[in-house]
Order: sequence, then structure tokens, then C-alpha cells
Amino acid sequence: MGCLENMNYEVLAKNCSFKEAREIIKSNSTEKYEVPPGFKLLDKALIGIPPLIIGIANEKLIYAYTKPCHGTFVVVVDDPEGVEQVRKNGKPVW
Amino acid sequence: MGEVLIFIGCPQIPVQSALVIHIADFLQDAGHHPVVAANPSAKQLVKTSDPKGYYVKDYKDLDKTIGELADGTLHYPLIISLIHNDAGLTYTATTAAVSPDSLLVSVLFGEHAYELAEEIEYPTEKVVAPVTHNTRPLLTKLDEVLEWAVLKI
Repeated sequence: MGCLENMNYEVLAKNCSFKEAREIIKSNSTEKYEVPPGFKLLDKALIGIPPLIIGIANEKLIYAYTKPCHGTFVVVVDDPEGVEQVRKNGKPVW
Repeated sequence: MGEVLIFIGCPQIPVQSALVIHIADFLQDAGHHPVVAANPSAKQLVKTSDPKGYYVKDYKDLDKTIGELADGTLHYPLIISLIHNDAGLTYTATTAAVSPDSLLVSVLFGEHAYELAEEIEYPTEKVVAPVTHNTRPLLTKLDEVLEWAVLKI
């Protein structure tokens, strides 16, 4: 576990609204899961307006990451532990 | 009398720090202890305006606060959230979801205040005015809501 900055990640979109981020996650994922706000990834509570969707594609997580002054980013993170956690605890959505 | 959380986001809009001081002053007069959750730059602006901590003595990190509310290790009966952008709305919606027993007041300001207020789907009392530099249009409604809110907790 660790901070996003220490992980292998890429930014799929930036400076978007949370609603836009949700649609970007859905359209770029092969699996989608709903999790509650506050769901922890990399020891950090996820920020988001319900329904909070986390996607998986190519065994990588795709999710929204919101910063107060920079809006919402969509990040693709190589986090095998997180993938397992989301599959185990998230609610699959189609 | 307990702690009340003032939740603030990006300090880009000038009225934000002044509103924090105003709300903290009101809460202290009502016998409550204001705690401000902020990112580092927003915290620094409030601290610069209140260097001796006359209005605000306690600050918390924004993300850490959400984590503790989600864990249930922290609870505030009243949370007052200042919002002027989509990120602020997103943080506040998260707070509403992880702390459903708290009474939540959403204070919306800045150029897009009305549009942001229309997007709110969580239970909250809204105070809305599209102001950036002049706090006056917000204050009457804000004070009314604060008077009501402190009686409810």
C-alpha cells in the first residue's frame, strides 16, 4: 500500500466534473463496480458523489481522483491489491 | 457544547476566508468550538487572517477528516461546508455520505453558485449567493441558518 504518487499510474482525463469522470470511467472499463464514498484505496478514502464507480481494464484500476483546487482527474493505476479489493467488496454494475 | 466542523476547499474565491472567520465567531458566541478542515493553502489564508487563533484554534487536513468520518473515528453533529466549484461539491457529497447523522449546511458562492446548488442531491440546508468579493448577500441567510442549526444540535 502507498500513495498514488508512488504507484505506476497514468492520467486519462483531468479538470473534469465528477459526473464527466464517472462517464469516462464507464466507457474505458471492461468491469465496473460501485463502491460507497469513503471506500479506501492506497489507504486513502475515495472522494465522490454517489454512485461512485471504479472500473477495471487490463487488470488496472480506473477511478476518479478529486483535488480541491484542480477538479477531478481520472487515473489508471497499476494496483493489483486494489483490483482484488474492488472485485471482492464492490457491487458489480453493467 | 461540542465541536462543529467548517469544511473548506480551494481558497480561490476571496469571500471564503472571511466566511470562515464569520462562522467561527458565530459558533464561539453560541458556545461551540469551531474546527476547520482545509487543504494547506486554504488553511494558511485563514491562519494569516487570524494569527493568534482568536476565531479558529483547531485545523484538520481535509482528506484525513473524510477518512476519519468514513471510519467512524470522528463525528461532528454539525458540518458547515463552503462550496464554490465541482470539487467542493464532490467533497461535500462525500461528507454527507460518510457522516449521514450530521446536520449539514452547504454555503454556495462564486460565479456558479446557483448551478452548483441545483446539482446537490444529498440532504442539506443550502445558503446560496453568486458572490466573489462581497459577503453581504450571503450573510443574512447564513446567520438565519446558523441560528437554526445550533439549536438543532
